Amino acid sequence: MSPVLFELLLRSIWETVLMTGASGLISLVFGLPLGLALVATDRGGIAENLWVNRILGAVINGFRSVPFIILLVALIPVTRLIVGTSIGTWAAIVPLSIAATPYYARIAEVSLREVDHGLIEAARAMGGNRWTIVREVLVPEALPGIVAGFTVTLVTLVGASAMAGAIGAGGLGDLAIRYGYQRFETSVMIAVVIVLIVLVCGIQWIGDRLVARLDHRG
Amino acid sequence: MSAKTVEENVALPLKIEGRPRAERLARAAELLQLVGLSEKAKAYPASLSGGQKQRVGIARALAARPALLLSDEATSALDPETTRSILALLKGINSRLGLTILLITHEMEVIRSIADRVAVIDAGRIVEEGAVWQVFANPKSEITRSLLGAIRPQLPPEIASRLAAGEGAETILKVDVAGEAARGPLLSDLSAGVPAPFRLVHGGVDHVQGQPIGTLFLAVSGADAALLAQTIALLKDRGARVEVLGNVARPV
Repeated sequence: MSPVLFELLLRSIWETVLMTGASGLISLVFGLPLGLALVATDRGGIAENLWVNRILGAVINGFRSVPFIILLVALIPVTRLIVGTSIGTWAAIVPLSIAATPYYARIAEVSLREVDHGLIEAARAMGGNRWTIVREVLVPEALPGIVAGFTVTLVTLVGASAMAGAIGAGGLGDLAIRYGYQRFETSVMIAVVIVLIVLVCGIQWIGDRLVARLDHRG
Repeated sequence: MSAKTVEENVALPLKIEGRPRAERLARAAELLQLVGLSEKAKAYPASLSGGQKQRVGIARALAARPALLLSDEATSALDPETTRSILALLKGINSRLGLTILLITHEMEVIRSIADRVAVIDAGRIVEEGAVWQVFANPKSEITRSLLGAIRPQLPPEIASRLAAGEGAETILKVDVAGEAARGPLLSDLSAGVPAPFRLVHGGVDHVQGQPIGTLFLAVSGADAALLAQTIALLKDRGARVEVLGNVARPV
């Protein structure tokens, strides 16, 4: 591999890490409250409101059912509104975040739903309000699942960010298509795949270690 | 709460109340001392045994200094040994802190060993209540009788199955005595006062809250109705409750 290509590889790695990290963080910030809202407003939840629950569920399902590559294109006006441009790494973060947020909300919802209802009742009996229940019971008890779900989301984002190359976002996927596939540079393709494997394994390893440290359920 | 340490669990009600951290930790340490789990303060509940978890639950319930401790089936999932130690702890809390404990249980043994007063609830209504020894000695409702069946002497089924209303060689009497009546020399009075032989078929005397409660099943010769009436009269005179269960054709 030539030094120029190597330089390109390094830049692509950084772009992928940036896209994955930024959109992962955004999906955590918005997805976790969304997941909480889904659990809280559901039947028997701490803030039961079935209409809100249904509307929220429908919107999330709507975003989840659009293929990412379509979402990428469809969201171009929104992206332009937020970032000012529809091309580049930062522009890709918008559709990536919008796709990952409902995805992560569903994953967080599953973990939060598994929290023993008896614990919520106990906190309520101690005089805890909704916010106390969220802070002291729901989130801490579901934390291992919330972290494990975030790991899954990040790994999915690594894959999705490759598609973002279609709108000139750069990143490893873009490099693999333009150089590895279209220019038959097999070495680039192999290097990209190896880097991706290392990246995904690294994320998963850190996630697993974190979950092991947080999980006290025996 | 599996994600919190024992200490954090005990301090949680105070945290919800908005007390400062130092006060919470001091109170948690004090309560863990009380329930005998001081060395487990930093452990997570998953590493505790069932009885230890129950102790943490009790300590947590006491954290906010309640006026009443409500314990719903606190011992029902525990083995007999652990049940005993939890009951001893509750009794200690009751006497040392002067805290009223409302214990909900279906285990009569638990009531027998710890409670002062008991109320029996059937289908959501209190059907009977009173001092434990009085309710145990003289259950008024069917549900209480059936609940107490396991710990009060019952006529053995092989005898019960042979009971008949008509004539028989022997009449089976159920004699219940409690309190002062059970302290008297009831059986020797009976043998001295009535010239008819009787046999003790089954029964026992239990002590609840320091009061004797006896249930005896006597077999009396059924040939002479006058002697039978005299027997029953004497027992009743001594404060016993007598119930004629029936006759058996051949002596049991």
